Amino acid sequence: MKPLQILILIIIFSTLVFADKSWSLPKRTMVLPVNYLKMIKVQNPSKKLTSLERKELIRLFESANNTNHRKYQQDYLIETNTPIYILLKNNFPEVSSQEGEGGVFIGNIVKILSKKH
Amino acid sequence: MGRLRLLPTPVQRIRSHSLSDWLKIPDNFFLGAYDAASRNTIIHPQNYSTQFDITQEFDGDGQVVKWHHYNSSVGTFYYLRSSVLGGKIVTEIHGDSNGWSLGSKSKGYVYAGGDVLAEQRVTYPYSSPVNSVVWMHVDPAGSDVSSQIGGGVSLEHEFDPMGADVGYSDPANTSPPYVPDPPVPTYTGGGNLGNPACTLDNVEYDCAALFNLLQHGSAAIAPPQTYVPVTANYSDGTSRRIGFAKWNSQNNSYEATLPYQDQDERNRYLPLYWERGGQSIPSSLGGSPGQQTQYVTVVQGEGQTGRATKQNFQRVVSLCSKGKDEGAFRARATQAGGAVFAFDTGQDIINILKEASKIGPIDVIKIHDHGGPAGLIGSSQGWIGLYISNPQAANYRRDLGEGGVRNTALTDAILSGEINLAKNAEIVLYACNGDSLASETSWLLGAGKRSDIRVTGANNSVYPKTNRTAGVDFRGYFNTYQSGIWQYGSRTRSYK
Repeated sequence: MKPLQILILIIIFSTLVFADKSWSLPKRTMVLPVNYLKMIKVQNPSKKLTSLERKELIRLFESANNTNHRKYQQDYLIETNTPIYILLKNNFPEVSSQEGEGGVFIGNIVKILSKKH
Repeated sequence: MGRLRLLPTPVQRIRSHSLSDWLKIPDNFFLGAYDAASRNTIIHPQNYSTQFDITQEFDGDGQVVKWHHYNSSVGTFYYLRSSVLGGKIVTEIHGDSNGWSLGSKSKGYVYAGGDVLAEQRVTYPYSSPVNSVVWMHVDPAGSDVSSQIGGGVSLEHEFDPMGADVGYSDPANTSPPYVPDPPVPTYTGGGNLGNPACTLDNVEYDCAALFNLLQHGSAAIAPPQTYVPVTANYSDGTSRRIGFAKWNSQNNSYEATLPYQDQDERNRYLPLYWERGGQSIPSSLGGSPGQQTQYVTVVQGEGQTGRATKQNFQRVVSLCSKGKDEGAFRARATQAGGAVFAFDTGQDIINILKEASKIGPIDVIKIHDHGGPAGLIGSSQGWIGLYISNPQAANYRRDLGEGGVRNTALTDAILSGEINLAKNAEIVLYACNGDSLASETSWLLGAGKRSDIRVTGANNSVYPKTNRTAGVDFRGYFNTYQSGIWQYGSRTRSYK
């Protein structure tokens, strides 16, 4: 394989988002935070996260919530079958109380997590 | 009967039962069935039962001989073709008896040089047949205008260079102004339509005598185009075709008639002035407030444009959902400049619109809310909003909460007149994933003979792109439908 091909492959794979590699919301994402969260690939949604990973996951949702309100002045619903939400729910079962029609408001997730963690 | 498959391109255009009617079909909305010769035999709207199918049958030459529309008011047609004319349709025959006789003539076509010169139309306004002849005027791009013996002129189609029917209004125009019926300039039927008779000032004249007048300079040859399009450009940058101006030989100018009906509509169009070369030219206005028509002389020249200041063109009712994001939704609803109402439930939406209808027809309804594939959510997540009604749809919700309604409740109220929507009214859903609700609602309205109403919804998440416009995430579109048929899509949508 030529070096250029290797470089292209590295660039392609480095842009893919994996939950256990990257936890932060990009600063200049071109999509809505809720759609970015949907795009995140989670290799093992039932994984038990470490203390540090749990904090980073909360921070990810906080970041999405802040962007929603700062940039778009409104909240967005995340569907309950989204992998990153399933991972969150497996590690923070209390968020399931916020589920309703259309999914869960990210703001409600952050509100309930920030109270307890 | 062959296999079912998705129509392959985003927008399919097929020729329907009439030579002059076109359908635009969106991707993923219709399924087509094809026979072994890859001929489209069935058009089936996705998620609907087969009673909504449009079917067609072919003869041995692969030409359509029978066409059936699910809507009985459209009906079934058989085509009589002429082998002398290369298989062209010469007569359309009714294949059912819904207000007309089985086997009776629906349309006849007269050809000249391979093109349709005239149509003989048989209509049944009062149960007995009425015959009329419509002359077709087609330019090389296929855009056409029809005229009747009585002098009436109708806009038929306007095609762009790629062959797409772009209509007579700018689809990017987010709030197109009310446009009255096309102007009806007087027209001497048959003047240029295959009849070589000479005319002077629209009166038939002996050609030899007219030639003498031409030689003496007492008469002049009129421009080749009897009608030129007139476009109004509004102060907000929008523009749209408002009709045609007709050549007046006596004044050596084109003249257009801009009708209005009352003082309110007069206010919509005034102040009005025409522009040429950046210099405004006062229009010659005739009549007084309350008269039916307002006459405007357009200076000579092809494609002259007029300029009108946009003032209160439309009656807009904006609805914003209560709940956690009411502030944001209300701010966006206020941008529209119309009356703003807040709602909790789908039933509230209907009640508000009924109340608003009591003082007159509504031109535009704008609804700001959280949404999902099943519909609008309302102020809370208890299935209290406005939802799709097709139980075969994947996102159909069987049980609704208190105040939750289906779009059939909305369309029933519109069709009964309790919600009074003006002609060519529009409903815009500023909500995530409102595409299904929009297409289905427009389908229901079309089935109830309100196909003039456009309904717009987004096919992904909606967000405020700027303070004045909404965008659709993931390069999605606000899709606009009429009678369930996709009309056009736009990436952004102004709140105004």
